[in-house]
Order: sequence, then structure tokens, then C-alpha cells
Amino acid sequence: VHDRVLLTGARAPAPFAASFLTRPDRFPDEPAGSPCGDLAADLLLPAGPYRVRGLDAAQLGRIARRFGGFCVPGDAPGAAHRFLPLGDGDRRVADDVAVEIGGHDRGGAPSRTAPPAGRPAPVRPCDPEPPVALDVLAAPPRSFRRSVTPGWHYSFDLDAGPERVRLAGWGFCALLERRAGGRWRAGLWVAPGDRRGFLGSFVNLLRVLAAYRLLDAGGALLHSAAVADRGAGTLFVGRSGAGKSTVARQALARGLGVLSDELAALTPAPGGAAVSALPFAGDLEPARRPAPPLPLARVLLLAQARRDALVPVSAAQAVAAAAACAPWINADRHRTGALLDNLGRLLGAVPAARLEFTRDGGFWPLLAASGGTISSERSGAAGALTEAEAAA
Amino acid sequence: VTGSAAFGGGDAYRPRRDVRFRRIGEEAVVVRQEAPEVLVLNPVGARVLELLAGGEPLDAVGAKLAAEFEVAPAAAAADARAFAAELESAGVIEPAPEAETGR
Repeated sequence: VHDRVLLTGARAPAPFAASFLTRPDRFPDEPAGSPCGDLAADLLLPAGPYRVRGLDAAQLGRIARRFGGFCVPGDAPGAAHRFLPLGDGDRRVADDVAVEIGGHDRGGAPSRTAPPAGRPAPVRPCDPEPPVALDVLAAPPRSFRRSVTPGWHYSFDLDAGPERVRLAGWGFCALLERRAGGRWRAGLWVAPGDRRGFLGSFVNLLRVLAAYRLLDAGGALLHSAAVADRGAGTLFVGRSGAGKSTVARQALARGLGVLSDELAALTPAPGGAAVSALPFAGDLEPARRPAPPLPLARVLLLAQARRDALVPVSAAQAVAAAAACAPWINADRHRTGALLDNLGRLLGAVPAARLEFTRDGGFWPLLAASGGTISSERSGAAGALTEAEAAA
Repeated sequence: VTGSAAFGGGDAYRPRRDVRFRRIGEEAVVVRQEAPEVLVLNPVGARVLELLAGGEPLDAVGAKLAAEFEVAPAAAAADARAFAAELESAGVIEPAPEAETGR
């Protein structure tokens, strides 16, 4: 054993959801749920889209504001889906194919957002089930225990099985089911009227969904800062407190593009791997719009030190560090092998090094001098992702 | 003293239930979920784990190491024994029940 890294990520406590649900033993058979509303949106995340259904207007508004250009609301031109199947019969159909209710025009013309009153809604197949389909359901408020510890709203329990994953937190519970082809179908149960807690619950679930979906797409969700320069991406991998936000802020100050200061998506690409922005962030503002993935040029393992140095590491050391920073999946015994397989394929051919760094930013010239894609100095406006890179 | 005795007889080990590992290049990455931690094994350690996980008893592991790494059998036996002890103390492997090894 010549290297050792502590894992990050949630571990399933026992018993599941006892702190969050009044009847944790009944979930997912209970609580019952019905759609919160009949609105929908597509979230344009890597390996998506993620189709969100059953939203009421307030929920959709919060999601649209939070996710900016990643969110295509159902009423916007180009949206692929407008309606959640509402009835039991429709729901059975929706197990196999997505359905639309009402007069949705596949050509993109505006259409109704609800079936005409007093008339049965026609049901017809539309798109195949998207890579991720998420139904938002209203559950009786008594289903959830009340939060007794303010500030703990981002903690939750996760229970992973071979084909499904359960989550529960303050004011929500969720079920993720894996379907054929690595597609995922999810339900999010929330108490209607929990306006303040909804977005936190939704984002919690979305992070977990992204981790599972990316894995099935051959990729990984990694705790990492992702910096873009000259059309390529560099990943700075590190756990909480490793310095990801520090690196991201310094990159911005140097005029470099920043895709992420907290979580980035690693996906397969011709000839190697690609890195993409996600709408999740640490200390910085999250990305506001999707951008094409950038080819991954280098992986740097963050290690705070008293001096700046770049120490080459083996592919195995890079994979180990990345696995330690793959939240939820690295704690899921059903999927850790697949995670290692993916990381081995994606990082095996990418130059990797341990970046021993001080927080004063003295390491940037080292990166430029070492032949990576990051330039030593660059003028230009700082931004989350430069326009040229976004258009690349 | 036979080789088998030198290696601790036909002792067999298996990865613990919470362990997942993959070869990456010549090394191996080991995830221990109960710890929780990730380990990197050097090429010899990776090969020892791979052979043990494949059901090879410790004496056979030593013999294969001697052939593959072109070292003296006694040295390979000692290495195999030492690595197995290290992996066991690190929580990566555990003695395999006799039913699994056919002994």
C-alpha cells in the first residue's frame, strides 16, 4: 500500500430515514402522492436532459430562477414535454413511454398547458423516455418529521440498492429507479406549500441523480474545480476544504474560465474524457447556462502545502483520488466497481499530478511552465466561462 | 521445509465484502467502504491481491510471483506473505472459509 485517501460522500445510516419520515418503514409504498401541478421543464445537464414533471407554478419559477439557462420550462419554445400524466391509467402508460395530454404541437407551436375542462384528454406517445425523468409529487405534510436543527437542511439519508436508491431529508423523500439503458426515473415527494424547503430538497435530489446518471453514462460526478483555457479543461480534484474555491477564484482573477468550484461532470469523449459545468457550486455563483464539454487536458490532485510543487502521479493514484471525491457512488457497494472502471478509462490516458500549493497563487506559473494548457498570464474579462469557450 | 509450509501452508484469503478493486496500469486501486478509504497498491501488491481474489492459496501466489517478477522463490514467498499480512491488517482481505477454497 503506497497511497491512502479518505473517502468523501454520504454513507447510509441505519435505520434509513428515521430522522426525517414519520413512517420510514413504509417508504416508498407510502406516502401516497399526486403531482403538485401540471407544469414541466427540461434541465439541460450533462448526460441529460432531465425532464421534471408535476410542478406547480411556484416550483417551476424557483427552478427556473435557480438554474437559469440550464432550465427550459415547459411553456418555452423548444420544450420537449409539457404535461405530466395525471391519472393512474396514464401513469401506467408512462412507465414505458412518456405521454402527452392535450394538444401539444410537436412542431413547437404553443399549446395548452392543461386538458380542456370536461373533456377526456387524449393520450399519445411522444418522445421516448428521457435519460432522466423526475416526477414531483405532493405528500401529506404529516409524512415528514419537523426539522429540529436549523441549518441541517442539506443533510439527508441515502439507501442504495442494485436497481433503486432511496433518499430522505427534511421535508422530502425520493426514490430513484434505474431503467433499461442506464435511464433513471425518480419521484420526489414534498409537502405542498413548503415553498422555502422545496428548492433545497430538489437540488439535493438533483445532485444525487446527476451522480448516478453520469455513472451510467460512463462518466462520474467529481468534487473538483474545473478551469478552462484555450479550449481545454483542467480538473483540480479535492475534497471539501482542499482549496477548490480558492483555485477557482484565482483562475477567474487571471482571466481564465471556470466551469466549477465544487462539482464537475466527467464524461467520455472521443479519444479521452471531457469535463462539463453543472449548475452546482461551492462559494462561487453556480454556472448559469450549459456549455459544450471541454476535452480534459490534465488532472491535478489538490494538496495544500508550504511550497508550490507539481509532483507527477500514476494513473492509479489519480483514479484513487478521483474515486475518493466521487460523492455517493463511492459509498455505494453496488456501483463502486463501475466507478473505478469509468475512472480508469477516463483518467488513464490523461496527465496527472499532485499540485502541492500555497494559497497565494504562486503555483500558476508552475502550471504554465509544465506544458499544460493553462497559460501563465492572460488579460480579458473574468467570467464563469468565456464566450469563446462557451461557443467552442 | 516445503514451499507450502514456508508460505503458511495452503492459506487462502479473499477480499472483504466492503472491498472493491481494479487494476489501473500495473497498480491497483482499492476502495474500502467501511473504513472509508481508497488505497493504491504497488505492482506486486496489486498482483498479490489479484491472485488471492482469484482463489489462489498463498503458496501458489508466492510461486507465481517468483516466476512473473523473476525473483528467487524464497524472496517471492516472503514478499507474498508480507503483502498478505499487510493487506489483512489494512482490512483489504480476510481468511477465506475452507468451503470456498475446496480444502
